[in-house]
Amino acid sequence: MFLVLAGAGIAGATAVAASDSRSLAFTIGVAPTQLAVALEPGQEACQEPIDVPAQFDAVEMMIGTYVLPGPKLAVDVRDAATGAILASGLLPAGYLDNSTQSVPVDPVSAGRRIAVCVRNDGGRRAALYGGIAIAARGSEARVDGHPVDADLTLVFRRQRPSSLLALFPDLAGRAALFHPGWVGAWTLWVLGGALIFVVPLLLAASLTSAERDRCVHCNGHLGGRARSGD
Amino acid sequence: MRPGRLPRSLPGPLLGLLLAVGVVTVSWALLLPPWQVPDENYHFAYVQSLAENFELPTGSGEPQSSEQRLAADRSNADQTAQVLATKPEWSRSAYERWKLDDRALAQDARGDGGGQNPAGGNPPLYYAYASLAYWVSWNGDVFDRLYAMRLWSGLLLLVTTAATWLLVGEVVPGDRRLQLAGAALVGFQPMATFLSASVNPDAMLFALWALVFWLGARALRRGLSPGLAAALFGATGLAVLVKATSYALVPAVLLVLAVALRRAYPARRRAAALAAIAALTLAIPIGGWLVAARALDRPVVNQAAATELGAEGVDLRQFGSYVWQYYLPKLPFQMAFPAASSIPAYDVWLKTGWAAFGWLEVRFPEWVYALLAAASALVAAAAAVAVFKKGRRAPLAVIAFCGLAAVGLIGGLHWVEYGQIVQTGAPFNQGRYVLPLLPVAGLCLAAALTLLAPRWRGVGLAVVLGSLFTLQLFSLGLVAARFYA
Repeated sequence: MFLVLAGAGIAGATAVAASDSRSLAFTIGVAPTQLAVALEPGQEACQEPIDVPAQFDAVEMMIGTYVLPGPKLAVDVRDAATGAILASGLLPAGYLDNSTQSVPVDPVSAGRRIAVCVRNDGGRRAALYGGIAIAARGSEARVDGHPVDADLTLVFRRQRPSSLLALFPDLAGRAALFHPGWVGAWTLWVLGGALIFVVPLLLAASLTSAERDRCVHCNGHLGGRARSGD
Repeated sequence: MRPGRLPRSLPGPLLGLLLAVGVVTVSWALLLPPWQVPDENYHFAYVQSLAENFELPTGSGEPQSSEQRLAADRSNADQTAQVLATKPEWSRSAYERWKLDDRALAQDARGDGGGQNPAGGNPPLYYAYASLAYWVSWNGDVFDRLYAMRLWSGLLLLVTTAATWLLVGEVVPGDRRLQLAGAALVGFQPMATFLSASVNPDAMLFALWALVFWLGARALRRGLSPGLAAALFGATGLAVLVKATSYALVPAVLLVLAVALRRAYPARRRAAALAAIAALTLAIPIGGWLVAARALDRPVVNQAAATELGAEGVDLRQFGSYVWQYYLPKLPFQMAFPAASSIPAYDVWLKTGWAAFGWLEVRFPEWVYALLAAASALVAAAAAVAVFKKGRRAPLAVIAFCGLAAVGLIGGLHWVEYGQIVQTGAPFNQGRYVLPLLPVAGLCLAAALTLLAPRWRGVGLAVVLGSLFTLQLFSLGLVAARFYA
């Protein structure tokens, strides 16, 4: 009975993980708490450097447009060291105020250090959301080359989402960072295996043992005389 | 085995359960990103101050060391806390850069914290315990030490689980399945594993409260021997040295003493000896801490617990109204408490008591909590029926003992929160604050299962274990998805 229920639990968890699609490649960890930079027509805001831990092909931003329809924005992804353009994309005009917009760009592979630049190619002002300047330590935002006292909220996505189940190897690798030196992705694999196979068997053994050890005369000793409290 | 003797080896069902709880606890400890548990950054800073400088956090200086601040920055811990939109740092090159910068830190970077922090008012016992793991991993980096402390704390959940096993065996003897059900509820309760697998004094609080419940029940069932009195009151004293909320245990253990003295009264010398042992074992740790705190010019309880209502601030009618609105809808003539606009008993006690991970931002869909509420209510009602059916044969003294501890804890939490709302308008309570009562919940579950005919209890236990295992699996999955996907 228990193993059937545990098996159903494992099957349920697997089914949920297989049906839960995720498009997030990574973020720079800045919550959109304020208008970080205002971009007049022709101005450009860049956030750099940014490490790319996973391939992405879309950049997501939260944009304020001062009530009016949003202007056209151009997004460039550049190599942080050389400034060479690695990918680019366009956000057409007309989007809503305070909306989150995803801009498709050419795929950028993992392992690079990049700068992400957003240029206002429209005729009206726009603002990018972000957080205080210390939100993304080691990375800074600039407008037309001048540092600003904020960091941009940038979310990097894959246009083809993957299921949580398919992402498990990535999850294990991410979870191993900023951990003790002896922890690696393998540790999470081992623990995952132990959770799914060993824990149910241990509980089943406990249950069987409890059934075997039970008092043959028990009939609900709530408040009965103590016999073995161990 | 003779009654009153403890076993020399672990019973099979308990051994299997403890191993299973151990695997789950290690999984929690290693899966959680650094400092993504309520106040873990402050608890770590407290331990570091104690371990590096042999000093409790004081009012001057930075609350956290340079080493901790650098690690928190680079792992994006502070930005991730409470904000679902942000994630911990996933970049290996960022991690490698942190390693280089960490090695380049000044020699005193580990010991230049120790300033006052929100956990700084806590008594030091848990932090002294955690320091042992810190010292064992002394040569490692900050994450080696953080995770060593988590794993060391996780061991305390095994104590909590084993003590609950003993408690159930004491009160509902004769059926291992009931013991297994009660202990499994404690060992597999998601918030209990989440908190015990982190650097958090709650881990030790749960363990000591569970021991007090077992020892108290044992004393009420078998009589209070001098050794048992020392253990019971000593454990209560130690619990006070972990968190001030443990003062709530004092009326309950005094009830145990009163029952014991009444039974021992004809032998006056024995009664006096028991009273003396109880007083000494309780007074020495508590008194020692009070004297030490006074000498060090620091509060004896943390800031929130120290909230004081002046004579003009006490309005019992308003307090009653607040408590009413905590559990029931507001009546038309009652003043609304902003912090109690919904039903906090459900939103706080139940939801954040069962499953709210990270800095409480990681939660299940609403329907899961409705299911947990229904299951909790069913167990509570069934336990009440089981007690009612037993009538006078029910262990009334044990029920009074557990009830007094529960009323003391929950009443104290309400009093503190009421004071804080009056003074600052902000609520205080979190579901985890009532988790020291988990062993009593385990006992209730065991009592509920006694309603089943013996041949059906195995099925009931299988459902309990299967449900708890599934809940753990989904909880870990939820946490993995929140932080790493």
